[in-house]
Amino acid sequence: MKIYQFNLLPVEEGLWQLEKDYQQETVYIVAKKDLLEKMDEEVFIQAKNVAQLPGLAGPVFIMPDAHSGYGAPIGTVFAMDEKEGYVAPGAVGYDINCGMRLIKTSLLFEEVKPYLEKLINLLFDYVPPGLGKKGFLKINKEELKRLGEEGVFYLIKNKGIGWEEDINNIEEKGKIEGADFSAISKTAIERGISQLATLGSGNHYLEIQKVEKIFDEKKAKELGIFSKNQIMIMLHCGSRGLGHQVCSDYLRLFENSLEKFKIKIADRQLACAPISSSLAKQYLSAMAFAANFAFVNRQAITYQIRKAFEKVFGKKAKDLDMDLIYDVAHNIAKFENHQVPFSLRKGRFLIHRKGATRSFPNQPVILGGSMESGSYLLLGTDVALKKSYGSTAHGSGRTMSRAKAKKIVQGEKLWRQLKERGIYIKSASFSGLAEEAGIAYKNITDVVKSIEEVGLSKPIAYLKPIGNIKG
Amino acid sequence: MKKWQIKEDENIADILVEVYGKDMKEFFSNLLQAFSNIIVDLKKITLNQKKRINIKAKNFSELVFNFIEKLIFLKDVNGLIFKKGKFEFKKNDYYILKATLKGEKIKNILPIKIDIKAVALHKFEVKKNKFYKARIVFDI
Repeated sequence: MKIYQFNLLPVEEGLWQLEKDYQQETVYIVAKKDLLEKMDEEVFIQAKNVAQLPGLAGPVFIMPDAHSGYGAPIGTVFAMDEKEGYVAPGAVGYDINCGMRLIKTSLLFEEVKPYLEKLINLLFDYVPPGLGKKGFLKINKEELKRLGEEGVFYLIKNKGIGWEEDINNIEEKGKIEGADFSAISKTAIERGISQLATLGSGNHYLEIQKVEKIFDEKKAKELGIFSKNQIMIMLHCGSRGLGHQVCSDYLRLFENSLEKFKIKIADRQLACAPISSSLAKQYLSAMAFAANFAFVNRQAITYQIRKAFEKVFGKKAKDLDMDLIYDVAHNIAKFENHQVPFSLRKGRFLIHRKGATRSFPNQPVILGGSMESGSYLLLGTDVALKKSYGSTAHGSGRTMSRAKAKKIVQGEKLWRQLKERGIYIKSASFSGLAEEAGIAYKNITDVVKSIEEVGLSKPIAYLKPIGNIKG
Repeated sequence: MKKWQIKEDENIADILVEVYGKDMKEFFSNLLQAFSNIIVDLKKITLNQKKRINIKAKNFSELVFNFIEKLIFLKDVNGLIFKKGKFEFKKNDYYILKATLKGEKIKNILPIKIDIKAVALHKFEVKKNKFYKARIVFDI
């Protein structure tokens, strides 16, 4: 099959190999044919560039929701040897530990429906976008240090924000080891202090959803999902300006060191350095700090979500069973033990996931769709461990530029249409809403079918939006 | 000559903008306005806040990059957004920009259209032929 100027060879149903006209590693693309055809040309160009990075331990994987990014496509997974490999900040992304969080409730749609607008308006007040209005949590430098180094545990133990049991349902228990305050710049510190407990803008959101369909009743029950129409809360946000600044700062340091490390790359945004170098070690400490800040940010927002529900429904959040189902990153690099797919090689690798989610056996995976199409809760698999370094997709993936979406969609009209369809949106601006219209994204169900077909994750439940807050 | 232009179909998830200027002063002034206009309605920005900045870089391209990073910092940390600037340049071993920026507190001119979170190295390019031209991808 030919797409643009690239030949794609079928490996198995839903899995393709990019024909090699270059040296280095193979690129595998997980996607049904129709999704493959929706990927923009840059995805293939960038994937090839990634496959030519030094130090790769095995193939590069592109997920079905992929679209072009900077350097590496959004939806990229690859592994670097722990000792001989390289780290590429641009292949983690600007929004370090951008991720998804899902909170359950015992409420049913009929109970929430009469209060939906009140609830969304209150949440919009409690969880500001961050520009023009700051978050509820004021911290100083010392507290930022402890939050970034100790993660969610510090927030719960020392600030009383969150429930102790939340920690068990966060990837890495809300703390990536090795975080070091001294590895982040003064600018990153100040941006972090000013933006804690805020949602951010762009594609970040807080959504009230109802369970529309349950695929795996046994697993759903284990996670606290008992029936159709049960109300869930989904959160998509990351490390705010702090993470962006860490990525910006280190990308420039890495770019300036390319000559020193004798590295040639096709795109400046893929600047990398040997994992064993002090520069890479510093970046990984700073990245871990930013990742922990993102976990803390989502935890602080969860506190506000619970508070808003308590106020609207007149019950304690505990009595509303507002437990955390899971919190998972989709922009991160982590050391993990794996067997290289299509190889007998085993070892410890630095897994880069940019716009891709960890999908370990029995681990919840959260795929956020557009505000129109809905989202999925899935389960990680053994197959993902064998085929994709325990990784899967992260969402819908854009198919249309923001500018084009704004030309086609009128934000105010879309807002009215969605309201008529029972989805109440509160957005910082109508233009921002138009940019995030469902038409600008791939169909989330097609993405789920693709990852299910290859066996990377299994659906547990389909969740439909009823209310959404956009920064 | 156009001041700036958003290249609509060259970037899917973020914003690619081209900024032009016949000289350095005009170029930086246009860059400032392009940046602010992506975030808020430029017309709404009054000039009741003033900020002096000094930026140093090894080359002109880096000066442009550092200037954008400064605008992001002032927006995020000080809550400021600018419409006008008075720019002075010096060149010794470094490129030096001294500027006085005028604008206002962002909280007074809501709504935010979209936030700029970073400037990408990807596709970043500054050229000087007959005039100054930069291609900049903003992460939003």
